[in-house]
Amino acid sequence: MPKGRYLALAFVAGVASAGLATIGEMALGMDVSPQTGAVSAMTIILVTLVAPVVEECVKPLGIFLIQKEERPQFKMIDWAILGLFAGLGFALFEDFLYAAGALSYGWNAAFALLGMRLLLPLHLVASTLTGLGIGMYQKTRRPLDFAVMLVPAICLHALFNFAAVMVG
Amino acid sequence: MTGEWQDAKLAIAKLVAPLSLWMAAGWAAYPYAIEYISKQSGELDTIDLPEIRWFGLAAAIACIVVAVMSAGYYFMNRDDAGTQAPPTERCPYCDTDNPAGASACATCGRRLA
Repeated sequence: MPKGRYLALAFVAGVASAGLATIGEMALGMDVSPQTGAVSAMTIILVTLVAPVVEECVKPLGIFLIQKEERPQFKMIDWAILGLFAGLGFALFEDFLYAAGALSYGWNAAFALLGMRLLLPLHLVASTLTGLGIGMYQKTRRPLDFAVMLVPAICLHALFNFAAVMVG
Repeated sequence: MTGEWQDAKLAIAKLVAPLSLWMAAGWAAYPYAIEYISKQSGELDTIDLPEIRWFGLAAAIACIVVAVMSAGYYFMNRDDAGTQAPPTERCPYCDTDNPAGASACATCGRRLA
């Protein structure tokens, strides 16, 4: 298990990257508040193609800086745990942002949305993969090893977003 | 398959198994949360609730399957990773194994090359 300092850094970097991704997505014309009712084709494209790529590329930036600046010699499971903490920070920021967006429907709806989103740890799973990718990159110095983990994380995120936007 | 990749696969299995169970709970609760939020926002008639329920159930089952497969992979392979014999070096004088990198043989005490 990595030291608490590294876990805290990964978590804070996850929160910061969520803010960065939100700004980037808003700049690309995405509505980051919860959507109800019918959705347009452009929304589907943005949510299933653009958002996963932007978020999965931004999320591991903090862990990447940790491995670049401090070069800690971790086991693979430690890199995965760092990714998990980055994903936790990212998810909490995004969940509270969405819940705040649902406040117009009342506090109960906002809490229900927050609870539902907290029960779906997509960002934790995806950033576990990217954390491992950074660990592989640190050991082998081959960018392909990072990409091998990043691409499934983006695909998983895209599949999840597609399902969520098409079904509910 | 290098040791790093084997470690990475075990790490994925170890973390994805509980996360998948967590997500299964989320997908199981998903239809009820959507129904409640839609009621609160007055848009219940705009959603297809039976479809959402079936989807939630299917997604929850899929997550449970992934969790079981990940846990199975982890428990079947963790011993292999943990019990791999450390690298050794054979003493040319007494023909016994010593840890790789040892300067002298632990059995005969002679210097190892």
